[in-house]
Amino acid sequence: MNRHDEERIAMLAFGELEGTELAKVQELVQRDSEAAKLLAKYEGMRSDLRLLRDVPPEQLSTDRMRDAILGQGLKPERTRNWFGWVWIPAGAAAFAFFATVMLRQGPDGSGQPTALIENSRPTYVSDFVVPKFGESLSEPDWFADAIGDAAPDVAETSTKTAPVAIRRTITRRNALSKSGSSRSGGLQYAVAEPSRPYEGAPVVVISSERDSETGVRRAFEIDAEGMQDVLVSS
Amino acid sequence: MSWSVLSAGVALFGVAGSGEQLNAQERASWSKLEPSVAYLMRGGRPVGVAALIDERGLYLAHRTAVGSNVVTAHLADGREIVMELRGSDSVTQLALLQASEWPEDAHPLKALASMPAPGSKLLAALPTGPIRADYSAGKRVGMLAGSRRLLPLSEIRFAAPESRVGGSLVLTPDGQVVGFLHATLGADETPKNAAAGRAAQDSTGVAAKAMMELAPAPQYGPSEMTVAYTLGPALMRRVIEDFRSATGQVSHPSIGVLARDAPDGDGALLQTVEAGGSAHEAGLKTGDVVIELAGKRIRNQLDLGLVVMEQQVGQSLIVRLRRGRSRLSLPIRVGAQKSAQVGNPESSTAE
Repeated sequence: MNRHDEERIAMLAFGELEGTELAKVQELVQRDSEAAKLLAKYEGMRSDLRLLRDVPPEQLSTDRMRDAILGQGLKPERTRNWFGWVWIPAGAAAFAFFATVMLRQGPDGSGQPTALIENSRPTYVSDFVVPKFGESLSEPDWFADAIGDAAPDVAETSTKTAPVAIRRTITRRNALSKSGSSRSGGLQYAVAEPSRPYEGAPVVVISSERDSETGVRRAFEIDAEGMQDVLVSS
Repeated sequence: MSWSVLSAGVALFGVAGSGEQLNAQERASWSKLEPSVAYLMRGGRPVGVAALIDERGLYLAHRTAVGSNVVTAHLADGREIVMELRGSDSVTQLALLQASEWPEDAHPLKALASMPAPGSKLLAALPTGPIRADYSAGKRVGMLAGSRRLLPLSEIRFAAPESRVGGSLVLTPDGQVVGFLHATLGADETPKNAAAGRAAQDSTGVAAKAMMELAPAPQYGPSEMTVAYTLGPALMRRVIEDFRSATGQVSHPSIGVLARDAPDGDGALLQTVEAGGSAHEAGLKTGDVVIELAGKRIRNQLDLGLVVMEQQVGQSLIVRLRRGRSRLSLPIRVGAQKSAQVGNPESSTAE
């Protein structure tokens, strides 16, 4: 399986293949277990994206964000932050322990070092209150809850910064970069890009006037840049 | 009476048939398909081709070939029949006709199941007979100058005879309906510039005239390769399915807005929000900038038009937009722009 195959597998996972190309990659996935694993990985990423796409990041409450993270089995960023300052007292305790062991005799006078770790145990990450990891995220409930909050009659939200953990989702571009075929996309919203056929060819403007001889309307092509001020009905 | 007999009759009017272009295999395909088409007549001349789409004798045709609510048509076996206009779709310009009689051995034609590969051979059934055509591109975007609706298009190329080609039916050799010839490209050096775009923002007639003036003399024309457009496969499927439904009415997704590019180049600026439309009911206002719809990023008005066209009528979506310095997320229900029923073929309604 080469890089080209990896790209095609990623495209398959994101539903961007059709026709003979689709059949070829499906065949590859059937006969190559590594390819099948890679496809499963990309499909997981895709479902992650879809899950997060349903609710705008600004509208994620802290609890909901935590649930979303836990539901996807990700390690909360919060633990790293705790560890950031915890290492200071932990280091001090370790130093005390070292000094005790090396410089003091044991209480029984045997000269053997005594393990004091149980009494001067440093604070570990696991000691802090961490939300329950084991709870399976019931998607329908979570989804209903999220949508319920996300879709009030008029849900005005300020432009506050979205939680970093949520923004660090694996976007399609990042997914491709992991296969070594594309550049990193950095922090991004998990919003899908629509198909833009007008980027590959100009827009065809069909005039209202009909040619009396041929019975067809006249068409003209205009580059997308030329359409900037054109009103389009939706 | 086969097509060749019909075309011989057509030749009496000074219009030459073009079936000679077909090879043996293509002629064999056409002989199987011809019972499923009808030649629409006006003033004794064939002006279009209709395709049988339902066992109940429902035919699909381009609106330009249907001059009145009741038209006459010739079947491949030579019978003259009467067809009654049952409905008309202003967005796609397609019409539904009910035939008084139809061949018992005719099979209803179905819409294209998937997009053919570029270069695939097709059959274009002109009013004067079939010719060979090429499927050159499947993913084109078109805008009707009148309605300003974006439409997915397929690009077809063929060597057109000196005859009427409007309303011609385009089929795959195995009988799938690609579409009806909707428009032809005026020239290869078309106004691919901002001036033409600015012209297009004026009123319809003015825009059309401006574009006409900007376009140089056409290089495609009779007996040369003509670039033509039909509706895209997904849109054709929708039209055929809706016309065959109990109501016989075609519904296109619509939220009732007119939009242009946002000044900062990120989003679609709402210029008009139709009163009573989906967007209006959802709380969208003129001046809002739509940046996301249905989970898809909206970068400009073309994105908005295409994403709306992909949705289903009645679907509930979330639209994200900028209003001043605020960002809003609103639920919106996709409305419908419906085709006209019998008796009012030129109008359409939106809800």
